Amino acid sequence: MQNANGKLQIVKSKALVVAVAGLLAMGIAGAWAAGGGDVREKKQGLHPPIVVPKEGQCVRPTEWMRRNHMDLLQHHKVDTVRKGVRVKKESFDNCRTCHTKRGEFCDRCHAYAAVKMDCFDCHNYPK
Amino acid sequence: MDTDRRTFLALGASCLAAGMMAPVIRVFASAGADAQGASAARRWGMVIDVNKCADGCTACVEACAKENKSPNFGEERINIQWIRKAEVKAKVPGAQARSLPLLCNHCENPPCAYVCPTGATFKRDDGIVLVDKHRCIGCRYCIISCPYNARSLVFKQPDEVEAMGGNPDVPRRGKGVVESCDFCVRRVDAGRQPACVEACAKAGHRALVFGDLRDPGSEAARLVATSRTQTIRGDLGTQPKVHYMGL
Ligand code: HEC
Ligand code: HEC
Ligand code: HEC
Repeated sequence: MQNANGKLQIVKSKALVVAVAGLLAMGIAGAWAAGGGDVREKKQGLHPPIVVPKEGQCVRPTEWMRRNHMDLLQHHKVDTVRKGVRVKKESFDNCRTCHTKRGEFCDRCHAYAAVKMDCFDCHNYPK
Repeated sequence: MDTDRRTFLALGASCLAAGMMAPVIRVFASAGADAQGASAARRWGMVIDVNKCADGCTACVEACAKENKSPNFGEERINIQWIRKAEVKAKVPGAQARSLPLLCNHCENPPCAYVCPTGATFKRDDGIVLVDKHRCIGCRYCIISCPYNARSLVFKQPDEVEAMGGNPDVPRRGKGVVESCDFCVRRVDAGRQPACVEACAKAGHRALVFGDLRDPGSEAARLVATSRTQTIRGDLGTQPKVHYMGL
């Protein structure tokens, strides 16, 4: 009886150690993946969590951006290339100053929503 | 009848108000000094003084390739070149060969834009002829129509050939898209000179002068007005905006 109890305790503590180590590893991996402390993971709707800056705001209200960022880009594309209107703040090149890696932002949503786009063939955006 | 007239007037008034609001909305939508866009009051052009252009100097060609990340595929047939040096010789005995750069002439009547089936090639309000890479389908009508042989198609994804470093603000190339000299439009919009012009001045030749041909105060306009300048194949009616001096 006593023997069995002791064994159980050892098993329990082992499990605890493993769990703590696992959590730690996940935490470190998470922090590493997030590339430091100035970003946070955000779960929104059904798609996998995306990484967004901890502070600050998007170039337009977040709600609006979520639905309309493609229209914003499309609109600026025409305005910039064809009319020469260059609004630095809202340009495609400016997205990457805050959303530093497309792999953990743009691509996660797009993979979920099955959006396939060729923009990154030409436009520089760190993966 | 009276009511009808009143509604009609009210409608007119609200239309007028809406019309007056539109510019205000426009201003709000794009605040900032660089938000004006290309102005039709401008006509960007270039004057090339052939006498100052040195034999064997390729400073402009190199600067262009660097600025626009033009790849060297190592195959003359598919290389992308926006500006190139050529030797020309008059067909008279004893004539000297002249070295000069050739580039997109940014024609006032651009044949490339007229034949483009998708509207990808167009002339911007300030006269710069551009390819909207987003609309180009790579049909190459423009290449055929250009009398100056100034355009190239991207036959290969350049990244396969060499990793592109350089200017991150200049997008990379897409395979199957036509391109040509754009007068370094990003620089021009920022109030700077095209890379080739800067390089030529740096090399001490100052053979290339870039400026607003509609501004009588600009050096380019002054040169066109006061010197004997020529355009290439002016007889075609394309009205090039690249003028040559001393040919
Ligand atoms: C074939 C290459 C290519 C592809 C593919 C491409 N672009 Fe572009 N894009 C360019 C070039 C070249 C410019 C001109 C840049 C300039 O003049 O500053 C540009 C300019 C832009 C601009 C204006 C400049 C800026 O930084 O805001 C936007 C916005 C834009 N593209 C959006 C897109 C979007 C969205 C997609 C995908 C649907 C896309 N592009 C796909 C080549 C490409
Ligand atoms: C100044 C920094 C900054 C810039 C520049 C920026 N963003 Fe954002 N963006 C943010 C922040 C911060 C959030 C998250 C806000 C929140 O969670 O409330 C965000 C959120 C978003 C979202 C919504 C994500 C969600 O919560 O569903 C989209 C989509 C987006 N940005 C796209 C873009 C695009 C496209 C560009 C380039 C035109 C861009 N952003 C430029 C900071 C920026
Ligand atoms: C919150 C999730 C989310 C984020 C983050 C996000 N997108 Fe999207 N994006 C979408 C969805 C969903 C669509 C498809 C919308 C549709 O088809 O109606 C889309 C469509 C697009 C399109 C149009 C594609 C097409 O085929 O017309 C472009 C361009 C685009 N996104 C660019 C970006 C860029 C650049 C980023 C990163 C800076 C980004 N998006 C980040 C969800 C997102």
